[in-house]
Amino acid sequence: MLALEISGVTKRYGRREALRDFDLRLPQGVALGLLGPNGAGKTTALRLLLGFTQPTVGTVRLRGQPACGPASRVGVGYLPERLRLPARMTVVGLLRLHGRLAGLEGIDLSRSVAAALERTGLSHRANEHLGELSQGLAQRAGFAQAMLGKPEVLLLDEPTTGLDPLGIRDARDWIREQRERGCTVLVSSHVLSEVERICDEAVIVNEGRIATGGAIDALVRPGETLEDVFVRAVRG
Amino acid sequence: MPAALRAFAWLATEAFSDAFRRRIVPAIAALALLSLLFVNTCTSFSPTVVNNGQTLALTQVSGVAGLVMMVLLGLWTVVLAGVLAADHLAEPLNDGSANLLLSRPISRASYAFARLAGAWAMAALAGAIVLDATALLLYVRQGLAIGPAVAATGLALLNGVCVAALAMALSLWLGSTLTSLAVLASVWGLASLEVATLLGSDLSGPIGALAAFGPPLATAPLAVLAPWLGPDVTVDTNVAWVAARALAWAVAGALLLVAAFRRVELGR
Repeated sequence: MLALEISGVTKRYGRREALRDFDLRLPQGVALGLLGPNGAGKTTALRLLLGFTQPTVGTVRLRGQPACGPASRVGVGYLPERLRLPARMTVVGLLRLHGRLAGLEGIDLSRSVAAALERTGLSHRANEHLGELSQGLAQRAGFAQAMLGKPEVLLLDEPTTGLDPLGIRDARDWIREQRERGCTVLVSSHVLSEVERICDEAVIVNEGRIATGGAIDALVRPGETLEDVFVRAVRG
Repeated sequence: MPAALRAFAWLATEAFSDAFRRRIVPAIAALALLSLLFVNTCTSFSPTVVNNGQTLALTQVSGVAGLVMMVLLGLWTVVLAGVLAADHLAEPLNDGSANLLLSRPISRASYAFARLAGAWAMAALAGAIVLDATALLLYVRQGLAIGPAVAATGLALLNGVCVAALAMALSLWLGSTLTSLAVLASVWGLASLEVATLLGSDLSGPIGALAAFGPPLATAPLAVLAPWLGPDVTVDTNVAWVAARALAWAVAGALLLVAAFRRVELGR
């Protein structure tokens, strides 16, 4: 079963085409970097996968289910680009709620929440309100909720936004851990070096279309970096 | 309990907690307290007057006063439900915090109903306290039957579902401030039309239809509290019809909310 599948999708907002004839298929257990300049359509692709918006043309499936239904989001963790957390809720309150919605209960829930707090370095801030956290700490809380319940698919939109160098290194470790246990990871990012380190494959999106894609080892020629591939794909 | 129902219960609990944590809550509590002080003053008069040694019962006067108080407090509850609902869904959508929850395996209908339940429960709690305390004072001090007051409270809370759902749906386009103003204007306008109709005004066209078939915001409590006015006064309404109307509008409001929310594109 494919972990996610976007087939022949065109997405229009009024006259503007955010995605055009977009095709993306990702097998289970693969980590894919979705790269592209601002406004290329990366976030739109993630929003389609989560059923936040519907394609104008084409089909979108997540974990084999049509992306418009809640069943497709079972076992999916998500970290948005502009993470906004309910300011009046505590860190542990957020994790308990998301744990429950991810299907955790009782002792499993308590253990998972404690482990996520511990792993993201938020144990001593568990009872603080989310509105009081710095951007970096809020991003850690976002990672903690995304990883709850051992998701099968992890959708990360600019996951290192707001993190300091230590946080970026931690985030890289967290994503690597998820990959190692067989989780499918889709990372949308501007940070090419991060994608190169984390992902097996990359797709470069430009003006709503896939400009190039494949295994990173195959995309990057000897003596090149992923940045060179990116510039060539975007500028032609 | 099925997983979907359990998820709804968690979301609704969180939505109620969120409503309870809002800055407006102390203002609601203060307003409720002021209303109760006002009711306390208004119910303090004696239901009997001794004139030239003859005791006169003023049950009709106290009935009218009690009815006016209950209707106004019912409308207060309905407005409160609408105002609270006006940003209880729009706010998490606008600030993006709803996206995280909606990335979980829950339907939009479940999320919208949970937010509606949270806002409504907050208003219902305040409304029930104020209305039931008023009913109790009227029963103890004026001897007015408590049954109609309990029914009026129930119908006010049912009307609150309709107004909260419609306000929530409207807030998806108008935003919370304009929606709150629209709630105030609509409740006041509709209640005025209903009272005018009950007092014998002959309204025709869409306005007449709205007064006759719209949400019975004022008609519902008036209909069930009519026995307080005594046997000489009759209110030309059928309680069962009014209750059915309130229920139908509550269901229609909730369905409209879900239909409107399904059309919203998230995360733009």
